[in-house]
Amino acid sequence: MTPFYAFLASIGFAVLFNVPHNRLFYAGLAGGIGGAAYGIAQYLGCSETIALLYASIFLSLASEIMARIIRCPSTMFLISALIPFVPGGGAYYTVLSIIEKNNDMALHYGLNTISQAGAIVLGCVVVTGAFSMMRSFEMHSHKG
Amino acid sequence: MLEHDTLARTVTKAGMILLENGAETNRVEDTMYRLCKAYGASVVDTYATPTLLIVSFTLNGQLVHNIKRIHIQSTNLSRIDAVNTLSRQACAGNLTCSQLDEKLDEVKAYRPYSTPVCILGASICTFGFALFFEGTLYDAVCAFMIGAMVQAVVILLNRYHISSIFRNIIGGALLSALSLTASSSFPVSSSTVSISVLMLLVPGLAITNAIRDSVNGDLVSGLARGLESILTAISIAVGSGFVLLLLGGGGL
Repeated sequence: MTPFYAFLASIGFAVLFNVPHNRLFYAGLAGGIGGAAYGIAQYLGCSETIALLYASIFLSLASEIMARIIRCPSTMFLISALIPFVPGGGAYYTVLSIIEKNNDMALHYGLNTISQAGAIVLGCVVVTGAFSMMRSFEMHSHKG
Repeated sequence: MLEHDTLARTVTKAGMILLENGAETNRVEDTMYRLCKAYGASVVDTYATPTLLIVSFTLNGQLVHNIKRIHIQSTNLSRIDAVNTLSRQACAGNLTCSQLDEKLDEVKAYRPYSTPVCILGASICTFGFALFFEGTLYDAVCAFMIGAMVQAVVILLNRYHISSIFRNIIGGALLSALSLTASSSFPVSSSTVSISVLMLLVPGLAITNAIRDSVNGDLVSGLARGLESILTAISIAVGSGFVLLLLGGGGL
């Protein structure tokens, strides 16, 4: 059910970000695809960080491809879809552990959070970078 | 013949709409560049950061510059989409400059989703998060209601132009207070509910744009937006940490 929950969360965010109503579904879909990748990776025994990396790669791919098909900015789908995977929980537990004076756990959660955030960033960067490279190739070939 | 200051105004208007509503820097610069070129300007240079917009071009032998200071930061992706479509039409030669200007004014007047819809969206969002974080149905229902309340307060604070840092401190404090209260009287986990509602305040747009700007080589914007997201995260932590400290019984 993970994909469906991610789908719900992404649609909620898409409303908050004023995505046009006829495109809300696609924003949710991108989130759902990320959720599916995350669920499958975890099922196959990947660690949480690696699962998030896969989620980030697949949802960025989905948003870029949908953006090309519908001809609109990929930001629209990417932002709403990416948010459910931001390690808010890890950050929260880090602060909670600091307050409880449990420094070992704070360090544990803190490092986990940073590596998870890094994984998400990496996935997103790889895909966005590849697509912007493709765009600039296209532009040059049009000019030439 | 196209007047050079008309073009400068129209182009910066398009750039301002994009920047104020959360487009990434590369898109703003690229759109302004393409519009200038489409209307026959030469030697075009455009520059954007989250707070500043500069455009410079030559038209009919006259050198024109325009600078705009950006104050508003909101998120309205439908306006970005609309400007994107208009810029495509303009580049295809289907819009004159004055038509584009009128259309941009229409885009500016787009109404965001109404308050009840926003609150409903926020509650659906937190409901999904609670289940996503492996919470029970009780947790999800609780997150649904607290999410609505927090979002209502955030909208109210937005209306009075409270600074985002202060808004996030209040939001963070409110959500931990509410979820601790809920967990003391209902069988819900205060952590799960807190995390789910907390995601509403997470600076998703700033993070995503910070990454994309940095990747595109717009380092100034990337750093500015990165700082914005770090400050937001810290202020949420300050707000919710303060309440946890008061009510949670922990000692720092």
